[in-house]
Amino acid sequence: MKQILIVDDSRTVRDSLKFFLKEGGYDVLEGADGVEALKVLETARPNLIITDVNMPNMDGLTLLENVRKSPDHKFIPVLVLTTESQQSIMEKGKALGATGWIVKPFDSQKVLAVIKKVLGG
Amino acid sequence: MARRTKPVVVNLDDEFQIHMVNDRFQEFLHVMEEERPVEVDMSRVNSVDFAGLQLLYSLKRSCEEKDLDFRLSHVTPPVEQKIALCGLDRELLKDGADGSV
Amino acid sequence: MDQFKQVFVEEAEELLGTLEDNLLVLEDSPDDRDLIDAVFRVMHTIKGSAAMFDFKGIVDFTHVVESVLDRVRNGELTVSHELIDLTLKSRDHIQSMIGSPSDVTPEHEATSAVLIGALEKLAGTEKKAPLPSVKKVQNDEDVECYSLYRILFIPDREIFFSGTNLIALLEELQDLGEYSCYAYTSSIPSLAEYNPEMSYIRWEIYLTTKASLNAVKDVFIFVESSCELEISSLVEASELPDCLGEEKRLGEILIGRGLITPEELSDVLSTQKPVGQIMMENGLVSSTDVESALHQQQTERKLREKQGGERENTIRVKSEKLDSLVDSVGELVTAQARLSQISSQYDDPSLNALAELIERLSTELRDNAMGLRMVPIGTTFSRFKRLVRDLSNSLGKEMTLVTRGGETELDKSVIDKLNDPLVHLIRNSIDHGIEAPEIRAEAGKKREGTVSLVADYSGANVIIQIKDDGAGLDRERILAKGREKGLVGPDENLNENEIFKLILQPGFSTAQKITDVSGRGVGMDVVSKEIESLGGSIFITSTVGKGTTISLSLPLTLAIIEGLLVRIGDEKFVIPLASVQACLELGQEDREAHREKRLFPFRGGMVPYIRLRELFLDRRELPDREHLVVTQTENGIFGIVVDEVIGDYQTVIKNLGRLYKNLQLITGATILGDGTMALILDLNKITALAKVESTASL
Repeated sequence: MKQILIVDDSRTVRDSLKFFLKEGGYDVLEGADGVEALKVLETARPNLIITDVNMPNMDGLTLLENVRKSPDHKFIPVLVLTTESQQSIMEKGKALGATGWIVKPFDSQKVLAVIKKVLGG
Repeated sequence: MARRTKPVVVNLDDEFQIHMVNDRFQEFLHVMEEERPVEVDMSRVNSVDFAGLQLLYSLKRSCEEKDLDFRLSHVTPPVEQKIALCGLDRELLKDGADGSV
Repeated sequence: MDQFKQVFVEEAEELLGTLEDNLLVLEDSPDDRDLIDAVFRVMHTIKGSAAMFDFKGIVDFTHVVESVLDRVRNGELTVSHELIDLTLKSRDHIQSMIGSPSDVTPEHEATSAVLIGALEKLAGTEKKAPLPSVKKVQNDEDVECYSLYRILFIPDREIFFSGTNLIALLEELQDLGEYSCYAYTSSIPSLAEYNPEMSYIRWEIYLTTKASLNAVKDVFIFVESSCELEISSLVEASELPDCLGEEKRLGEILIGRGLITPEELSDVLSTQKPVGQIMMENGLVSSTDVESALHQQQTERKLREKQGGERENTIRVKSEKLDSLVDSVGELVTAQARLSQISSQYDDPSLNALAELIERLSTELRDNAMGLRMVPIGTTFSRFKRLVRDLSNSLGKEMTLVTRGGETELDKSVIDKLNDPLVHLIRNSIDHGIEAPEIRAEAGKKREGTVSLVADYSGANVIIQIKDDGAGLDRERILAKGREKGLVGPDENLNENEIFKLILQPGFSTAQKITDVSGRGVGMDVVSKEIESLGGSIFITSTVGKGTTISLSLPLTLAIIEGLLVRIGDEKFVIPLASVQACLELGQEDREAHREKRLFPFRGGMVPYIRLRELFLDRRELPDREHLVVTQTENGIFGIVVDEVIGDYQTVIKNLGRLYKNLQLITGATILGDGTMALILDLNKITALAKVESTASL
């Protein structure tokens, strides 16, 4: 079963994402910010990371930088959650090695479609 | 057909993806040192990504340079589909490289 | 979804509770950046969460409050009593909207409008801020007809480092319709030259689909910045009078061009596959035939596009193409030098004139080619603003980043490699250099620390300075640590720059605590290695209590250097012209006079010299006359003694292969006009060596 790490400081977003992903047949790990996510990554290598940008302690783009620098995790696809279809965040994310983005608001269909795009069938 | 020596058989695991291409790459380099034909047994491979397929192609090319036979054996249907998807079927699946040994 | 709505309500209530507390504290300490950040984040989170449930009323409203707070956060708006007041009211309003069973009531809408009006008036943005598009915009009408697309897709070498799964991408294309894929494998090397983490493939894909061009482009939306992509529609549905007859139509075009016969066409049409694909598979027509069959249509379409949209005055070119251009130009410059040399041996005016013309043209071409690769460093600089803001937040420091000289241009490959070292140096400045606001205030400094990034030209180099006004480096502590780590001998005397450069040594760190900022595994030694690999050097100056300045001196370009060609015995060497200060003659008497000390007078001081003959050749008899090239190196001014200075020489650097990577004193090699080879000297290494020797012999 493919495993996905979701990182967001909003419990609402985490819970609903988790619900969608479980329905889509994925195993889910969680972190409330970049620091927690890195902690999770010490013992796991998920197939995908979905992260929010604006978070306390460590934001999503810094998390992304850290993932790309880690020998064990550098090739893990990372999707960035953006609230607006903000070009600048997407560009910044791409420059730092993001695989793609999911624009909020999202529903189950949209999330699973983007994940399929990145992970394949 | 090139030299008819018994081939070196390389067994690949369940996953053959970007995370492990470095290790496999090293292994392939060692295999080439033996100067014998190469057969890659794909029977256990279920998931493969392009980094993996491309490495197989590079191995094949190395064999060609040394005039050694190269073949994939026991390719499973899902992997075969992916090879075709990438347009590498003519390169990697030609002459009897399918299920038969 | 209902169970999440409950979570949302709970979470929002919680957030709004802290928001109220924070706003009240903020009113008393309006400069507290952490608080402003926290307040902003609450709005941001609520907006994001509400968007999950399509609570459009709440999303739109919080978006406005968030924009206003973002301006406060960026220092464009100050915290006033009025702002706190309105934000509190907004908070209550949000709470009331969340409490309502469905999104918003008309009363809510009315309150929203009043508050938004007041907020925008306060922020001075009466014009309505652009709202996020919550509804999906249906741009393309469904195209009911098939089109044939030709897709040329070349992923960047580094594509795997963005986590991209190329197979998933191709699968998505395949799902759109009839798909056939041609792989160009010629650039996939054999294992000997293979890097398993790189992508070498080129794909040409033919897709017959009902999907619109935009839908096909959308497949590549995540990778468009990391690949070369060309999607052309070979047969456009709109150009076909009758959708159902599409396949026949394409066939007719090809018959019309005399590329296939009607018999062949009917054979093809009797099978079920799309005609374009079958014909290409059967080798009846090649992709170029199909293209040329449609040449006329294509030209017309291009014309329309030109008339329609504004024409771009720039084109994007793969940097590899530029690299190969620069390479060829480099070869040309070398060949031209050879031509000039040969022509000087013949007294033929027309040959000389031609050689001169070619020299002029190739210089011009070289300058243009190099100019193509030059990029202003400003974009790199602006990226660091975000870094500084985030870092200062997470470290509890107050910071501004000042940048100057963003228009300074550097070779793109240099700029690309500069990013990581700069990130590290800036991090270091903020983490170790700038003190906490309270400590700064005590020392009589502004609470807010400043890091400046300054770029400027200096001859054939660019100097980039990272300056902070922080605590400065502690000479004694660094030196003590250096001795403790065995990096400095007990009796070794170091000057200031040398002491400060100890911090660039592997394993050297005086940081007393590891913060999450600096403890990320990239050491300062990596920075200095990277800068060195670019042919640059680092100088550090620092005053305790005032701050530290780290200067990076980098060559404008990597591929071609201006050099001074010199001779020792029968060997020729190149000294980078940028470091040459003067050329002097070293006669017999000068040698006598300074023999023991190996010093010579220069501009009122005494300067040490090094005899290359002793370094590279045996110490046999010296020639009668020698030349002395005065050079500025990172170890100070040194004289380099050679047999003869031959003259200026423009040279293309050829990297010595990996076999020679341990050569210490040489940075590269070049082929001279007469076909012989000259080595390019690494003055910094040579003078460092001389320095060690001279201190050892003292």
